[in-house]
Amino acid sequence: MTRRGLRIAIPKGRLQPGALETFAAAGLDVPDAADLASRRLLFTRGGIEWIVVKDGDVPVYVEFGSADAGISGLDQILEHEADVYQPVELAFGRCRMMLIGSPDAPPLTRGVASTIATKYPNVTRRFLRERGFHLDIVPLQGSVELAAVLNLAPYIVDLVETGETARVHRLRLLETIAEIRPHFIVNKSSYRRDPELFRGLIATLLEKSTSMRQVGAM
Amino acid sequence: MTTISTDISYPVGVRALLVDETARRRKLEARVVDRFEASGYGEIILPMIDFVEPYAALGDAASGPERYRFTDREGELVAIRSDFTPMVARVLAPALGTLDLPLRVFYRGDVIRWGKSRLGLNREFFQIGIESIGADSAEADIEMLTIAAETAAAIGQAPTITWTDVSLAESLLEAIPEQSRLAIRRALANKQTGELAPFRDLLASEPWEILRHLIAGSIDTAMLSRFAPTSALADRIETTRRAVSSIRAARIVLTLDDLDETSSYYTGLRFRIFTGGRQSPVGGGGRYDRLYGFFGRSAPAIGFTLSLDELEQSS
Repeated sequence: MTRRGLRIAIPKGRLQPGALETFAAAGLDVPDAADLASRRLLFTRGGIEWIVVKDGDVPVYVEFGSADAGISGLDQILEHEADVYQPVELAFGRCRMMLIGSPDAPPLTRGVASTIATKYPNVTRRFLRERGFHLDIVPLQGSVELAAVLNLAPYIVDLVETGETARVHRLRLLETIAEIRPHFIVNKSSYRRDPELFRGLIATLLEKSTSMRQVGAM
Repeated sequence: MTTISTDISYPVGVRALLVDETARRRKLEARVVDRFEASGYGEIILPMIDFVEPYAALGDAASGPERYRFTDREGELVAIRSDFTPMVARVLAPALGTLDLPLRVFYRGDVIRWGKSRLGLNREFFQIGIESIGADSAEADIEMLTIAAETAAAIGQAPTITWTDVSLAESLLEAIPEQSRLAIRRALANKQTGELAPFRDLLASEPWEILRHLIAGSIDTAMLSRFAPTSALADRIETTRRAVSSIRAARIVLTLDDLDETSSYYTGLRFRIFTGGRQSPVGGGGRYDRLYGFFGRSAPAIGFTLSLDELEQSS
């Protein structure tokens, strides 16, 4: 059994254009529009195997080594508690993960028995535990704001980019749980087996992604 | 009439080996045993279950949720064996005063544990490993890496061993308050560059520079030599690096920037063994000089273990 070549996971959805631009700027030969429009699941370009998966699946593929590296939002890394290297924060696609209340939700205090809807049940559970709150979590797949608008749950945890959706529906932005940025992530065993390859890639991504937070710039 | 179920499904993570698989397993096992015995290691046999309480001071590393625990007929909380090394320490520590050191032993048998990182893998797996108790020298580290390389080469394809020294994080962060130290170690373990920033003011310029290079993977022993708290460690790492560079049985890679969030029970050398195309390690080990102290008699110790289930899948 010989070791395969480098395999990188690209997220579908809102992070995809930025992810492709990031790798292209680092000099990698990324899948083009025709590749992405096809029904193929795996593309080989420039000696790299590229896979395109749902954003929430990127940390899973990388943590368990089916991909060596990828780009994933911090929301998904936190939700999966993925044990991966997260060496580069990228400048695009920034947002906040927030606790949001419906217009008539009472203040969230200890002892309040209520419900909270979210796409991020694990992050939400940890957040509630830290605060000493005991709420039933309603897991949803999407359009989480609607849960607060229709009173499925008076509280939600969701990503907020501009806050426009919340404003239109008179939802209240109660607290920021995490600042969310996309990260370049790397499988730890892949890095250990070929550290020079990944150090080079990380250095290039750090250099090309100018507005990321760098320790050296502080 | 009662019928006997013919369903042969098992709980998640365990399975039976039939004749051919068992023959392959025993052959592999025999090759490893031959290698250990030729290196002067004698076999010990340990029980399959033990009390939970003696391991409590070790924290999650030896008594955590990965273990299968239950109450026995006497009402004692016991656990199924999940890691040989602490068990070997508990067995041997009381006897160390009467034994010639270094003491070289090997063990083999099943361990059972659950772990998120073992997705889709067995929860019961056959381990075989060695321990050398009583030697704290770089020579003992080199001996262990050499045996690991030769054993991996004897049973797997294209072996690679990656190694680091986990005491590096402790040396750099010893003056830092515990809570911040944990956060910095988490950032280092996951290469979360941005997460280091809030701790800039806690560190003098030299350790801060080393941390920056560590997280970026651009660290080398020359940098460690220039900083007093890590200069002796740098010498030791260099001694080991030079010695293992002549080992031809495996590719041996120094990865100083490979630091775990917690050191578990490891206190120095830490290495992982890869073979073939398999993504996850087939084994690993290192130095644990404080482990025996938990069981009543301090002694430096070093060892490694191989998982034969993983090896079979990589060959």
